[in-house]
Amino acid sequence: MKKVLLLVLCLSLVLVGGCWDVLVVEELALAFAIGIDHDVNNPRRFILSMTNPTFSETSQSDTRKILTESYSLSNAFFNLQRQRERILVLGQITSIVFSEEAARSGLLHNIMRQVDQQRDMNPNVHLLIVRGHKAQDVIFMKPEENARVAVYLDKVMNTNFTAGEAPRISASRYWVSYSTAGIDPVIPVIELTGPGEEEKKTDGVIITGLAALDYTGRMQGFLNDKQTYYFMLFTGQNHRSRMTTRLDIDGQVRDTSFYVKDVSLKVKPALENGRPRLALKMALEVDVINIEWDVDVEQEGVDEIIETALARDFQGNALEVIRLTQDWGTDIVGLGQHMRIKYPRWFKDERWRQEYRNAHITLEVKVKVRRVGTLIRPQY
Amino acid sequence: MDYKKPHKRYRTPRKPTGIKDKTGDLKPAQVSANLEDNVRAIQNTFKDSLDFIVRRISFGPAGKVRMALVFLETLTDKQSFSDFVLEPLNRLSFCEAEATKIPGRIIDILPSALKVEEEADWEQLEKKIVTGHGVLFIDRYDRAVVLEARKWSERSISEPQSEAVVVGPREGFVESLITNVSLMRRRLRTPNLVMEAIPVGTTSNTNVVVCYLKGVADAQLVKQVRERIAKINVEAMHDINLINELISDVKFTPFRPFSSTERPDKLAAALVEGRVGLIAENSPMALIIPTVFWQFFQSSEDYYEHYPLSALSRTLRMLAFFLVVGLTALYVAIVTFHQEMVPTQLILTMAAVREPVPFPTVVEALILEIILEALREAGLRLPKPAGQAVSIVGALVMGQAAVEASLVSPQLVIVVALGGIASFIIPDYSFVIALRILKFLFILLAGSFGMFGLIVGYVVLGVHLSSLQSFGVPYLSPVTPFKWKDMKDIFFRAPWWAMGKKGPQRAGGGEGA
Repeated sequence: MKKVLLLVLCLSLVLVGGCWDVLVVEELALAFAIGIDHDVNNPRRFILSMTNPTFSETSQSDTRKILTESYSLSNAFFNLQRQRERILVLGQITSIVFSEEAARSGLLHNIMRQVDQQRDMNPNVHLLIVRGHKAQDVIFMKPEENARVAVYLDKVMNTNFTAGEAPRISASRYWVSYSTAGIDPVIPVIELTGPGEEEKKTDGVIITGLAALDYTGRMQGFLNDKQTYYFMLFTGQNHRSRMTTRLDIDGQVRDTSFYVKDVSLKVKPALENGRPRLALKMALEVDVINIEWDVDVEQEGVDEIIETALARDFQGNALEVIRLTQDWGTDIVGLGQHMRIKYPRWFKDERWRQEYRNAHITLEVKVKVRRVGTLIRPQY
Repeated sequence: MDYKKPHKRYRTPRKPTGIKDKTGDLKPAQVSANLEDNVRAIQNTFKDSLDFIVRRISFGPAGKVRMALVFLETLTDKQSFSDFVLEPLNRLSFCEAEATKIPGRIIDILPSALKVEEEADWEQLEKKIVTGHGVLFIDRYDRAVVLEARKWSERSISEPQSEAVVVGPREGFVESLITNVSLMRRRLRTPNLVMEAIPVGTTSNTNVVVCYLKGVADAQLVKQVRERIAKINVEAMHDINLINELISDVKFTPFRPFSSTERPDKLAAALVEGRVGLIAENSPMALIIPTVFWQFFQSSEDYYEHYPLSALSRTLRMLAFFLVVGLTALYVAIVTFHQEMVPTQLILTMAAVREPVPFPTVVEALILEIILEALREAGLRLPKPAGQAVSIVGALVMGQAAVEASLVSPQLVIVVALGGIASFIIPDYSFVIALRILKFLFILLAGSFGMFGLIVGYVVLGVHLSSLQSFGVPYLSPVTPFKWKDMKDIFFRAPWWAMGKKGPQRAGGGEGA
């Protein structure tokens, strides 16, 4: 009898197990992307936007648009849950879009702290900042390439990361940058595109650059696409990306396209009278795709001329990026880490933030042209 | 009133001279010198057997030498008796004075083409008759002559049904023990190939042959096999697979303790590795002792094909193990608990097709798996043409209709079908049966506890497999306990030139028998 009872108990344990946390896929309100906008009327509140796919044949649309105002992310989700017959799950969220105002006001970091507390939130979720529009415009847009905004955004980001056009910034990467002493986070910036008027540009997005955030998680500045490229060179994230610049050769401006095949950066930190001094040495190996210069590239000395011109160009543009970050007080390149390693006793987070603005930074660039006239990949 | 026993003298019944058998019939313990007594007794034993023949013979001067040849005509070759017994005896010429000496010399008179021996024990004689021997009773002689002339209809050697190969020998074991033994002798032409017969079954008296290579197989292992077989106490043994459970180390496990094979080349290879084989009468299969878990993933073809292909198929079979046991369970776990693990595009499709299905995923999976198992069983039991029709109706018509009727989701049909196909990749049929049982347990675990349940299931399975032993050899060896030397034939088959002279691996580690 005891054995039978034990068997029944074991069986019931198996059969009733999991009832409390079961999440059957068709009974879920799946969230794939969320948008966060600042509430202009109440700075403490924010507006959360998202779409949920609907699968019922009787529903009018294939997605349901949802907009809710709240003081905290948890409350926003509670609000949303109260409106839904299905269980809201966050594990499928692939993108979180913030408006520029939300990023500049510090709401972004506040939200990220709450995102971090959501148990099922995907740590690889893409973070994006939209310029010129609200985040909800991105969430509610109808991209022509893909009916699902979240899928479209995910693919855009992944494609550009693979092509080396933008760094992959996920929630976990944000926290790594935020928490590491001597480096500040960045987040890709997108803009809406479309053939219509400014307000109706809703058929897609374009990655226009990077937002530089400071140690408080506030957006301090914006790097355009070219500056993003130099940022990626500094941080070793460029791979296979193509660049076009204007070189001053023989007193004439010549458009030059090239790939950077290999880059190495050496940083020599020093302290001069308590002021940090960083000597950067960058060595690049370049494949020149095309140069508007009617010269036989096989000729001796031509490579050297191009190398010198490219090095000059690199030096000027890359230093400009550094100067900008110094002005904003955001060490997104992570030069502080070199100081921290060399002068651990001197280095304090607070001190570096103040000293970085006044740090003496020099850059020496050495370019080696591997070949001229490389065939380009037809995709881009 | 007291009962008083009447004073009456009863005659003490005469003690029977013979012994009683199981049926209660009296029979003599020894062969009598009286021919008629012997014939009467043997006729009494086989009185209800239609194939029992008694042939009385008398020859010599005035027919003074009288004999009776008894045999079962369905098991013996009558022509042999005629050619090698009756004919030579008829040709004998001797004087009357010599007639009394003839009975004791019969065994010398008969030609040596037949295996001839004398036997006096009555029980042994009966056993000889039922195993296809003829018995010659001779008047005035208290021993019988046993003549071996076995002949019965048997299936010819054909290609093994459950272990068919594209490359390699096509011969399979048959139900005849002698044929099977000859198949083995042809493959291992060495006097060291030992074939010991041990009768099993108090009624069936089936010979089980323990075969091994002297000097190669572990002596302790051979001894243990002999002892365990001798201890078997069953009425009848109809197939060698019956022994599987009777001599196993572990009693409660879904996994077979020993692998069985229909292929003589596979058994021969096992013997060379130092294993012990068991062949039985009336069984077209042989058992290989000891067996390790990894043997179930090995096919004869692995050793005949070029080695890279063997590595590929071995890997595929290992993958199939996980697919059979855990694929449906994984689907159930993901759909029921872990939506975050599914790629976005896929979950959209999954949710869309699951929407009209009324059952929970675990129930849906169980229904489909039960249907698959039913189809498999139906396909096996039905005659071949009908079996094919059932498969087509089941797989195509029912699957399609179930999806269209929104009873099951199309993804689950694919998952279950993939698991079904994977089950046919593993070469050992009986091993797959164990996996099919486990599959249902894993589905229940996944439906109740999600991925956690699945992982717990795998851990418990791993612990159980580690605890199993086959004649003292750990079931998971040589992976655990790890033996680098024997790893050449586990996850891949090393090229033959890298195997060494001994071949893939050695079973046991003791002295050769």
